[in-house]
Amino acid sequence: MTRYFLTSVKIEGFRGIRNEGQPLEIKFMSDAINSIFAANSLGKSSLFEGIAYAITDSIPKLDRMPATESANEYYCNRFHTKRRAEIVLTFTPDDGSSPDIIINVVRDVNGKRTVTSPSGYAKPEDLLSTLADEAVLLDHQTFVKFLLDSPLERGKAFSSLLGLSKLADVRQGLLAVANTMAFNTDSNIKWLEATAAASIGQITQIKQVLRKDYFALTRLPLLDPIDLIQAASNVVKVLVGESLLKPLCENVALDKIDFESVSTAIRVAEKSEDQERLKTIIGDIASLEGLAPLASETAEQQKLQELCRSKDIAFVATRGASFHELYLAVRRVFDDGSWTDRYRCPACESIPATPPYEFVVKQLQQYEAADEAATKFGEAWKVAACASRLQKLEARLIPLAKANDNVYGTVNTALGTGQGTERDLKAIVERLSKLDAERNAQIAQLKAEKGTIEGSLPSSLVMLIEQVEQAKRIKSALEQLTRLDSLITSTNRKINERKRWKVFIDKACQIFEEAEARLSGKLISAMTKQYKDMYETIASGKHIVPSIEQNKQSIELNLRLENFFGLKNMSAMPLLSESYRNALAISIFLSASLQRKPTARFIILDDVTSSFDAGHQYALMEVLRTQVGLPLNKNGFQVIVLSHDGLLEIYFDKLNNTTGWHHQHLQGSPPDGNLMTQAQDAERLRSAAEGFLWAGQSEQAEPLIRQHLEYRLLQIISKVGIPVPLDFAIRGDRKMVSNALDAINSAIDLMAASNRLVMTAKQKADIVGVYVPALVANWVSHYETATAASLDPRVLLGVLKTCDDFADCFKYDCRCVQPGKTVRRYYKSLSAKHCCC
Amino acid sequence: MTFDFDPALPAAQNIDKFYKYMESVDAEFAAVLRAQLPALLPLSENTTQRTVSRQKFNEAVLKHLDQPKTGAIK
Repeated sequence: MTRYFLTSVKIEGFRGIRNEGQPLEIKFMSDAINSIFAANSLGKSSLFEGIAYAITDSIPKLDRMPATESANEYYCNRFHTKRRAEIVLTFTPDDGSSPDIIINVVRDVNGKRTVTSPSGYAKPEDLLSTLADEAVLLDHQTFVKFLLDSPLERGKAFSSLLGLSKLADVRQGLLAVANTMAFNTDSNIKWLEATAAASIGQITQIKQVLRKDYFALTRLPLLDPIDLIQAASNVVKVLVGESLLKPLCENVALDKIDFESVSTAIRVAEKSEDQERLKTIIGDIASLEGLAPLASETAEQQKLQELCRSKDIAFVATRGASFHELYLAVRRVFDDGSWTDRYRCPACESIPATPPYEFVVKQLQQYEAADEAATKFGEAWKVAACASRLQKLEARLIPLAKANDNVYGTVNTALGTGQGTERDLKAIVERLSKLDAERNAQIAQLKAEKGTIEGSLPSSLVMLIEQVEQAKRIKSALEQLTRLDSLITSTNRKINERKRWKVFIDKACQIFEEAEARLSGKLISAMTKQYKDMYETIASGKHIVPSIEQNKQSIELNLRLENFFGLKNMSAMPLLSESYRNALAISIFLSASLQRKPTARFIILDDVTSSFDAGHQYALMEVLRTQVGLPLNKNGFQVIVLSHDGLLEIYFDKLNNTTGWHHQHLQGSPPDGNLMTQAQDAERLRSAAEGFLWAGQSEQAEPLIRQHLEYRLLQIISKVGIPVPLDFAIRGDRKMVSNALDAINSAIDLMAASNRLVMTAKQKADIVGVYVPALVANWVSHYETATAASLDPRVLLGVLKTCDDFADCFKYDCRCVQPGKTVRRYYKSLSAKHCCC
Repeated sequence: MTFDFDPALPAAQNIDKFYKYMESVDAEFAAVLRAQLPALLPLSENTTQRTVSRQKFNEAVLKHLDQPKTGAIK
């Protein structure tokens, strides 16, 4: 996989970096530690934020500001006339697989961000998003937040560091969709099962009537599985056997027989009103006999009672609706992040023995169990044969005038939603018993009437009417069986597919969870020795040994101490000082980053040593140099360190241009002037200042002249090795023109007094008599007091020339460095040349 | 054979590796799961939208489960 170094950045008009028309440009070495020093308020954080914004489209500090503060207005430099920010990043592939990729990020005055690639990279936004890794941009705040966050938030950050956060997102998604209760709700599986069960119940009832009619008509038993085609054919055969019906039924399938024509034919043959009544009675008797209880009804009623009891027991274990609402509200404030301390109650802020989140989840499980028991009970009632029988018996036997006396209508809603009681079930049993007695009485009455009518009709016709009614009912029953059979088949297919999916998604969850746990364990164990070693190096000692503990059930991460001055297994937060805590966080971040290979092969550390004293700062830099960064760690990162610490800069200066270290210094006058590196040398400043002065714009030229003078004087000090006071050396704000001149003058006086000065007499005389007085009169006394108005442009052009002439006094003609040419070369020191020229 | 993530791979490639492995368990359902990845990710957040996201995911899955089997995965 190709990874990328950050090899240069150009910034104009962003945060504290104005640089109008002259972008700040910094080049980074890919196989080195790149240190950048800037004194306070000299644009170091703007540089960090510029890179962060370009890569992540965000500046956390501004994102956290309240809306009323209009954070959007502070991305672009407030002094830039176009209020337009432009950041250009150059990325170099670490495997040389392609040319450098240049990405240009612009933010306009309206806050619109545009990303393009002048080098022609097809999807620059995509590359930036893959580079936006949690371990790339690290500042002091990152570590403080890591330490102060709740174990859950810390665990999430840690998971991200190990590159596991995207896996955790997928795992949580899988768990959510595999949740059995949620899946059953979303997939309607209970409803489908109820539909299938109800259809089976209906089939049983239909078959009971069908078997009776079929036997009465054909004298043949109807065995399972019923051959519907054969059964229909046998029925037609019987009808065709009757000469009156033969013309209407011969060669006609049962479902095509026109029973209206059949009835008319019988009426015409007999012309009797009793025939019609007999037909009705036969139908009524069959219908009432079809409502007889099934053999399984008693067992079914017992099952309903058991489910009802289980439901009642489950409800007793809950604490009612008000507490349910309370528990849901508490869980919500935890889940949506409004309350992050899982050990403290969000309502009363006490710390109970059982963590409130765990307690509330357990309580809510009771409610879920009660709901599930109620659902089971309700579903069982919906498919119960006795329910359907009760409804039909009441519809059939209760006169409309007594409709209020309808038990089914009263209890069905409650029982169907699982809210019914054992008393309801008892009432149903009693009701069914009474209705069965009434049903038997009506059958007996109808049979008596039937006998009377049959006695008055010719026996052949009575039988024929009965046979036709039986055939009609068989036809209807066969049609219903066909429809129900098809419904059950399609419903069962749906149920089976859902169950197959559930098995699959459960398995997917299990495989994913187990693999993620193994990967996490592997990464943690791989980094454990490394972060402990790093911590020991930075914190200088073995008396404190940290450890990190991750909860197996959740991703919470606790910081512990294996050893604290002999005490074992202590909590890290209360015992470690701020700098030691930061050292621990830095060790964890760096070692976690090294375990992975993110697309970004660079890390940028901004001001991460601010809580460290000098010893710990150097120790951290040594960790970066020897364990984290290229080239000493061949698999390590290109490290970019930003610092404002003067002591640390001495260390940076010492290592500068040694193998594997590249140091740069930011200087300038942000936020309204320019910010530059030493590499953007003073010649650029000088020519820009001259441009303003020739245009008569002294005010615009002044900050550039100041930077040019500071650069030139510091160059003299550095090249000639002039000793300076400690505060001048270590504090950026002391590197002023007057202080530099004082240091140079003192050094010349000292060397002259000891007769060791290498300069010519003229050079010394010009310095003392011409140039220093001119610089003091025309610049130092005028500007460093900050009391006067701008000088005439011609005077300032003279200052630039004076400064260059002043610098030239520290040089001599050398003819040996470039054969055949004379080169003006700085003295080696105030007392010696580099050569004998 | 146990499925394992590769510590050297970035998350996206490891997730892809997981889907490929699931094809050996059930190719048809692995394709459904892969197609619904964008609907799966919002489920990691504990927000009020979580239920809606879950229902959307399951709706898409059921649509596939209830359609006649033609072999095509949409």
